Amino acid sequence: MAFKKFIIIVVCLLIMGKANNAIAQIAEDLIVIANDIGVSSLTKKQVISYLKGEKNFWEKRKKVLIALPSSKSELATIVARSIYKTSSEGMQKYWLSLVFQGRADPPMFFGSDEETIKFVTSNKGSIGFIRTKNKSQAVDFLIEIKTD
Amino acid sequence: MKIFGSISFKIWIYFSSILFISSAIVIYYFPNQQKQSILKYRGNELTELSRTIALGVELSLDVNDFQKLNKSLGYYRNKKSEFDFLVVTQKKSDSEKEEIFSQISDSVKFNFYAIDTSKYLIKSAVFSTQIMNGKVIIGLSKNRVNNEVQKTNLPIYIALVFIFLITVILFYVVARNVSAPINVVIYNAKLLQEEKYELFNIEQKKSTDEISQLQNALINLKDSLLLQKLENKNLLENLEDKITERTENLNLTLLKLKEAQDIAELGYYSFYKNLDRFTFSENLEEKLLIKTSEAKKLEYLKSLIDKEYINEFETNFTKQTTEPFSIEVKTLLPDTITGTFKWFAINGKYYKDKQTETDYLSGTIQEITIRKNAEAELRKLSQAVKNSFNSIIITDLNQKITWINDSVLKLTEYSREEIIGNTPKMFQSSETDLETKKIIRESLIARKSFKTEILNVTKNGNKYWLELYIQPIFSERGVAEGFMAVEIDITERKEKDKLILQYISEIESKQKEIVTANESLEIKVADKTRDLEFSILQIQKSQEEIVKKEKMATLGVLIAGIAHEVNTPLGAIKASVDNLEHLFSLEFVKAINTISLDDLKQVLALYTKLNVLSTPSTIIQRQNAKNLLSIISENYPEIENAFVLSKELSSIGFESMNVDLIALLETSNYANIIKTVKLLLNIQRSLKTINEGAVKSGKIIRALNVYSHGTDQEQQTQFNLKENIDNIITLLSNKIKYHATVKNNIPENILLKGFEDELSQVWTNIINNALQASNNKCNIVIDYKNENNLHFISICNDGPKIPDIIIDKIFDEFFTTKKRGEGTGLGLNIVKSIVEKHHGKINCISNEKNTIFTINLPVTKI
Repeated sequence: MAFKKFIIIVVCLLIMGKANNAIAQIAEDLIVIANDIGVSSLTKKQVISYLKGEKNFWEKRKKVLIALPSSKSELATIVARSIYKTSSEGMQKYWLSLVFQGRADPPMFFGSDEETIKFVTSNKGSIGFIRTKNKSQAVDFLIEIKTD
Repeated sequence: MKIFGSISFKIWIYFSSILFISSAIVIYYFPNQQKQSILKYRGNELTELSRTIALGVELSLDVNDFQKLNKSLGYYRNKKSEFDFLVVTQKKSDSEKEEIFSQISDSVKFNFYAIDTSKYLIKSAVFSTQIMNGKVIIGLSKNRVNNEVQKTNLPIYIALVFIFLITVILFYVVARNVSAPINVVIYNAKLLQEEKYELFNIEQKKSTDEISQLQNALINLKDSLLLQKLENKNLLENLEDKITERTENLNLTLLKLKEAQDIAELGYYSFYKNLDRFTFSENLEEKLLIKTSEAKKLEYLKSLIDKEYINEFETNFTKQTTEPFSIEVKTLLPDTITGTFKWFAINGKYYKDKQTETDYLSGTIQEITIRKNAEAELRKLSQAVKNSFNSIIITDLNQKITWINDSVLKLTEYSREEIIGNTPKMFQSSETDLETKKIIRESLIARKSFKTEILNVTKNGNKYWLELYIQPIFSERGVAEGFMAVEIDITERKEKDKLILQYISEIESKQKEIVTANESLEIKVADKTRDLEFSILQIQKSQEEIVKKEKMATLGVLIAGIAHEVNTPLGAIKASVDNLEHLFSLEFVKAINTISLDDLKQVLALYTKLNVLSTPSTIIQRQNAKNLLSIISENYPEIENAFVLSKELSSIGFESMNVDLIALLETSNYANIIKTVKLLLNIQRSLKTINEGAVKSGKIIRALNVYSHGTDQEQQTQFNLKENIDNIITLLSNKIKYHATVKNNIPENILLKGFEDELSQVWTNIINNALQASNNKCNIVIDYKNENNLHFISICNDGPKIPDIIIDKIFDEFFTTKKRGEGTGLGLNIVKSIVEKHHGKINCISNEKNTIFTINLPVTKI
């Protein structure tokens, strides 16, 4: 009986693991949205690569437009820590440095999810972050994060 | 050359030069000004740019708007000429140094901190945000600015050069046009100058400008010149005739002048001082032996002048005043006729050469050798006559005196005024021989020379004899003009002649008296000879007395020392005798009583052993006593008075523990035995002292006996030289023993034959003198050698040097350096006499180190 229970639990966990993979998040309460980037899913590594300005074009040679939470946004610290492994100020300095070096187009900064959603939905090739709770406002632009 | 000298060239070069200088100034200063302006402009631009970018940074970080910054940077990035590098620095805190945040540059290896800031134009702007603070720094290479300046200036330079060339050409054209009529005037003026009137080609102008006036004036000048030329031609023809005539006259005059110069032996000269150059007339060059151009210098002329006249000559030739001068100089040029040197009279005066404006000396030089020689001869004769001791009188034919010398005044006692105009008869007296008067009269009438003796009187009536020579004086043509009388005063001779006659008669009578006196004189001489012989004997005796006295004086000097020397051993003898008396009277008897017969044997045995040992010194005794005390204390603790016992043992000669000492200490009566032995040793030491004192006294007495045993020794004896000198050293020992030393190096076996006591006196004197001179502080060494059959005895001392000034006098009689009463001055003189008496020699040399007396005596067969 106990063995059966054990088997059941393991199977459940495996099922749950499969299900979590499909809706993987960059961080807690944070999902990625994008507009016409040629793919519906990205790995976390790919997301970081695009958002760090290491790649300026999507696979179809479409220019990458980045939407980031501004310093006023509550998401700024989460994004900075999860993507740039730094603080919100560090993230800005990172981008300032890239701008001076001319290595990437600078991102757009938005103070709220609504502004981010508005930008992403109206600009092709754009990518941004919103809270999970606002997922419904951008259902068609959700990007699936695959495990690496 | 014609182009460069022309008027058109002069005008052209003047303006072109101004233009060239102006252009050069512009080219030199303009680029700098341009560069400064561009640098200023660029600097402002960079400042604005840095401020804009700093603002962009602030916007990016504060408002999160990176787009504008990116846009503006993209703009400048595409326009790279705006700057060479852009650097953003970040300052993390106030205390930290700024660090590079980001930089834009063409070069990958760009290092902001390594660049040479002097080569860049650098501007910066500060930004300040909540996220970070820092600076935006922008730099632009100054080379780029320079290139920019060059690019800007190039067309300006091209334009300037173009303008310069065009202007130069324009100036040239203008200059040519302006100078053309002037050139025509110059050309025609030159034709007039060269008298090419036929080529003259200017026409009369009616215009009133300056060139036309100049041309008209030139035409008038040409006409005047033509007229003048004609007049000159006529004048020249007349002038030539006159010059020819004048030249002939001048040549004739010159010839006559030369003849006159030759006759007068006169020549002329000119001297240019600034050139140091003479010019002479031909006859002067010959006379002064001037053959080369070097000889025409002042230095050569000076070399011809006698040194007595050089200063006068040089002063007159170099003073350069307008005053004329006239000098007479003697030269070094020989005069073959007279055998003397040539004389010249030189006249001169400085003039100014009107052409060259230089001063020159001009004058004449005349040879005056004959005149000078005549003058010299006349002067000599005149002086001879004037200064003659003989009286000289010159009369005219009427016998009236016209000239006399000073001797006449002295002889006759008349004044010159009284004599001149009178006749010589004024000097004759009534006693003058009539015959003589007659001879004089006849000779004068016959105009003959004659000689006679005459008696005259002075103004005061004193008579005097004269030897008179009268001679007629003839003119050059042989006509008698007067008479000259030379009078020699023979009054003294006349008186002497008289006296001689008297003497001759007296001598004759005296001769007779001498013959008789001679006979008695021989008897007197024999008597005197006897007296002299007696005197010599007396002198010899006196000398011997002196020698004896000197010896006794030396002995007197020695005697005090000798007495002391004798007294010392006698004192010791007396003390020893007293000691013995005391010992025998009391202690010895007591000691004998305290010991047994066996003890006595031990006493004698110990005494016999210790007797042979010499008495140790006090220090050794003390040391020995110390050693013995420790030994006795250790081995014989029962002995109570070990300290006194060890002292007693050490005083009788024990040094440390030995068999005899152990045997002695084992004896019960050891204290009395030691006391008795000590007593015996004391007796023995007293006896030894008495013996030594007696020997020393005897030695001194013997030496004294040898020294003073008499001077009457008549025969030489044989004696030992070393012993003889040792005796003297003994006698002088009181002087020697404190601070002096005498080393007698004479070998033992040297035997001398002579007067021993006298030779003793020699050594005593020399050694005593050395001691006295050095205040008894010297070292004396006596050496001997035998050489060439001679004994050489040298006595050397290192006392004070005998001064050079007196060393030759030390052997002189009565010479002494001692105080009055201390020395007779006979010591060394007697020494020398004694040495010479032995046929020997003595000498002395003295220097700073040593004084050495060396006596050599011949070796005589013994």
